[in-house]
Amino acid sequence: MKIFLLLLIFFITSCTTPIGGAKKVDDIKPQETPSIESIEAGLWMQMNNYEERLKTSGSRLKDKDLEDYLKKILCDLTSEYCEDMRVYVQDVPYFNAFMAPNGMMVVWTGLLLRAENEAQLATVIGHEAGHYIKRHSLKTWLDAKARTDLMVIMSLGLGVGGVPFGGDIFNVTQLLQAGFMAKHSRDNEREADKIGLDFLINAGYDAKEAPKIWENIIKEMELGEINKPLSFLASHPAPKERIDNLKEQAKEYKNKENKKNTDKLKEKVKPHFHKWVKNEIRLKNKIEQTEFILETAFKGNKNDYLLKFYKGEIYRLRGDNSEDKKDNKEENNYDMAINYYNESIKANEEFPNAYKELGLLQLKIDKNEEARANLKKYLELAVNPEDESIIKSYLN
Amino acid sequence: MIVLKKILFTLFLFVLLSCQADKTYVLVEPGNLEIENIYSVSTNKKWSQFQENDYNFLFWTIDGYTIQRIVFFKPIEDGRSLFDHDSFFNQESEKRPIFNSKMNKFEIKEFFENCIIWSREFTNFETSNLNNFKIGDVDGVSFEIIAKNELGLIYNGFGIAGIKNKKFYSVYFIAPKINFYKEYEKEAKKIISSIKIL
Repeated sequence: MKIFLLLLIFFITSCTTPIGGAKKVDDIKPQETPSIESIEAGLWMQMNNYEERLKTSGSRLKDKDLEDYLKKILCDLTSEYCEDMRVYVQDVPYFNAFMAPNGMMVVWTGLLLRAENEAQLATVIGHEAGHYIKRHSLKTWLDAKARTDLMVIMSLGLGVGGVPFGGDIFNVTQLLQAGFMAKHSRDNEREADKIGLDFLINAGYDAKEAPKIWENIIKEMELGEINKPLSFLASHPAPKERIDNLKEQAKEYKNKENKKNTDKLKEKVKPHFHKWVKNEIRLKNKIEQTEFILETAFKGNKNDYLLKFYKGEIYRLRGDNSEDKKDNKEENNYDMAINYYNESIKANEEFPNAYKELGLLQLKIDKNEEARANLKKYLELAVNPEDESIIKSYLN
Repeated sequence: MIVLKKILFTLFLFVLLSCQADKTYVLVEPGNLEIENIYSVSTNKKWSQFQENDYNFLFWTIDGYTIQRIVFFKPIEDGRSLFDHDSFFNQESEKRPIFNSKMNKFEIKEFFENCIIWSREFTNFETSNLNNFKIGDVDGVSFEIIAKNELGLIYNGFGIAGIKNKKFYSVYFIAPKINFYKEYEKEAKKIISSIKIL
């Protein structure tokens, strides 16, 4: 009997279309709003409330110019739906973007730092617009609800049937359910990828840039904590599969244009760029991972001295590990930081901050003469430095 | 009858014990005082002092934590952080900022800032205008604060920090930029200027 029940559960949960699952949901039409009595209207209402909170939230990056720029990309991609969607930037240093069923799109600053050009950014924005048009949130919700109902019935049935380990089985079925939802979600993601790529190419962007952003994410994951995937990828197709799909699909198109708009993106993020770089360093991810993110962010940037400087900052912020490195011949954090500061100075002899950090670090390792010379050089080069009194306290 | 009296007396003791005042907040009277043998400080106003052994800090407020507060951190040693306890809001513990007693003045400010950011108490938290500041006999620093919470409320403030006997000490004042900061700035500056590390 128990075996029969177990088999029944596995059979039910292995159906590709769950009992009572989501019915066919049509694409949302431009300027369409759900009827007030519908489930979708309830989802919209919840997200409208969330959106109202987001508008005044401290985590929102209130840069109208940047938000207008992202909105323009969205409108260029999805002209018919332009007025149905809004874009907000949230100051969170991780790679992520998401779309709510009511047309609220949120882009995290970690994504803006990582996108090498506008085409890569448009890849993600187009993908998110695909979720809206295909009503994926509603589909996922209906599907989840249907499965939850099924789970309740099954748990009751198990209870009545007197299966002693019913609770444990319930956990197993929950696991199976979660697996299905991820699969369902991944199907949605594949669909959104396809739509996003259509948008991208029709708007004249270089389709070859679409897989590149995922290639960079794979690389970043490999260099970092691979057991903790980036939040955006939690329910998404494996990046490798996604790259292959996108590359395959991109072949089908004859590009009208191949625009990347690298400079345009860099100009728009410029006011925040250094803060975002600092936030990334502050996360204290694996050093190789952070270095890779910075190298991507600085790609095409003529200010190589800044990349070197920030690489120095990555190592300085890790603190002194000379004791740990004493027995092997690897360079410690401070040695690495000093090397990078020196490289930064070599690339731009007029950059004051590299002299300052180099001097302060040299003071710590008792290279006092060199430290003094570098701190003096900093005071010479810096224009009205607000930290003059502090620096002088180290020189006296 | 004697048994009944004993029971009543015991019950009375229980009632007395249950009426014991909640010691989480205590009143701070104007004058000179010492805070947990860590800081000496003087105030011209009455403040409510929040104290809990579980926390690495205590704070003073008049109208409530979100309206204005002076936060006194307890000293921390090498290898520790200002927020060593894990909570739902914290990030992974291995990534918390770590204090090192060889930090220079810039790193002292940076460490303080990074700890507050790590605690996720604010969505934005920046320090600026770093200056030399004597905390009694300790050669420390002062800095200004601008912050924003999840509701979008902007805060202004200032703080001091320094290292004594290889331990990190810090105190800061913060209040909403609208109205409250200006109202309490002068008094908070007097208090923070009077601080000595014991």
